[in-house]
Amino acid sequence: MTQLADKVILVTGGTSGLGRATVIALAAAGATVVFTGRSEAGAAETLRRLRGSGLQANYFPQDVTNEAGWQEVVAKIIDEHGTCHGLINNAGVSRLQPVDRLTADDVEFLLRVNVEGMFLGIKHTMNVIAAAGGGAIINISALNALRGSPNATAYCLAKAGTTHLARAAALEGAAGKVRVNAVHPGVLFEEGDKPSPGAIALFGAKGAQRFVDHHIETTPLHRLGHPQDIGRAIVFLVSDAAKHVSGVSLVVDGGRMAGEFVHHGVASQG
Amino acid sequence: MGCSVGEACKTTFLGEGARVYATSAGGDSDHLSDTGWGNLLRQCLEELPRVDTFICCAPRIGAGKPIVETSLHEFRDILYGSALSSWLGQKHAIMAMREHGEGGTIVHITSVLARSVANAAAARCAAEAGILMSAKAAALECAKHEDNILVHTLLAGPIEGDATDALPQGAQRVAPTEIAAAAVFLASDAASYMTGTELAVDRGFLSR
Repeated sequence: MTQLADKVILVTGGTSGLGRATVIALAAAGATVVFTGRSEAGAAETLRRLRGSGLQANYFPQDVTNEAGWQEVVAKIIDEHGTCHGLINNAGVSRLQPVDRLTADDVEFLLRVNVEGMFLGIKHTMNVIAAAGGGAIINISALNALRGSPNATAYCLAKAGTTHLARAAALEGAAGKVRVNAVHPGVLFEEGDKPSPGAIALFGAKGAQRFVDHHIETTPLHRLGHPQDIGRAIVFLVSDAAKHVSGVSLVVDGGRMAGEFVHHGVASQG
Repeated sequence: MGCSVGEACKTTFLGEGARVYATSAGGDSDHLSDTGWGNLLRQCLEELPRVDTFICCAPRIGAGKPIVETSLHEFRDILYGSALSSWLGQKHAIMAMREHGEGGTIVHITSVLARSVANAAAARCAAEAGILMSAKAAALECAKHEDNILVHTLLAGPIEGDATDALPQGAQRVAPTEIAAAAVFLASDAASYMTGTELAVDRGFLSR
């Protein structure tokens, strides 16, 4: 694919899950991809999977909460590729606990990575992207930015910040043709239609399978979501196909946010 | 409180016969810690028998600069001073209300920036949207807990007489007393079937 040919795109948190799938999707669409993260082993795995598909990307270690680190990464990209057309602000963290079990430290940690980290990314790439003639920034958010749920007072606080920061940045980036959008993934499953090893460890084989079955039953599109589903949405938002799209929240969740769904007589429990 | 909205709430709730403990969190580093908010609630409960209603006014301060010109320090001051402080207030109010066991109402007072955006106000936009969604999460969590604690957010237009308040394009100014009146309604028994509500006091701005 050549949808993103000649585009240089930076992805944070490209060392696992959704970030890894995004790196692969962007590279497969022809982009020159630079990804960052904190896990050398995770980076090696992303690079291994890229090679397996005949693709490549550059990796730099980065802690997104460190401003000097952002300056360094952007300087390296300019140095090696001459320009930058896009940023995928993907690195994020979650802590789901009842309100009385969460502390100021938990909330600070969530705000630091999910909001401050993305603020720094926007701050240090917006003018560079504008100088390249425009481009796109995407903040990866969560369904909890759009609706509440028990145990999510801190996560909602941070992820709604992620999303609304993108919208505020869309207003400021418009003059330089820098489009800024938010993407809201639903629950993602790594392993096809099977429960992940993590879910099996947590709920046991039967419990994990029940969770998967229930999820399929209660998802309007009647399938599980995978990181690749989000990767494709990101490719669209970064590409010129989305050149009139800015300041939106794109939900990619198989239709679950659309509301209560009953399939084969099983009611959604959210 | 130290803000015109807080002052108006104090006056209006007193006029309704409530007993009010008013405090300012601004300029006090304590409002960013669990210890600080724990102490504040304890002091309050030395003067009042219990807390039925907690009105949490998010500060209407902003860097007033585009993102690319905002320092991390400036951004963090607003994000923590507004979002972290309001979250902590909400947490400690919930714990105090659970302790006396009779439920209660929490009303966050934010601005239309929780739902719309303005130039040079990114930190406030992020913080206030965060407060709004955290309030909805708290509303659902308390409902599940069956503790009869209701959590709401008021989204007010820019405040009349406050020249420093960020003004989204097309938004009309709102008198502090209008906001206080809506807060009294949400805190009253008339709103006992409402929770997780976002109530705009904005002359229709957010409906456009």
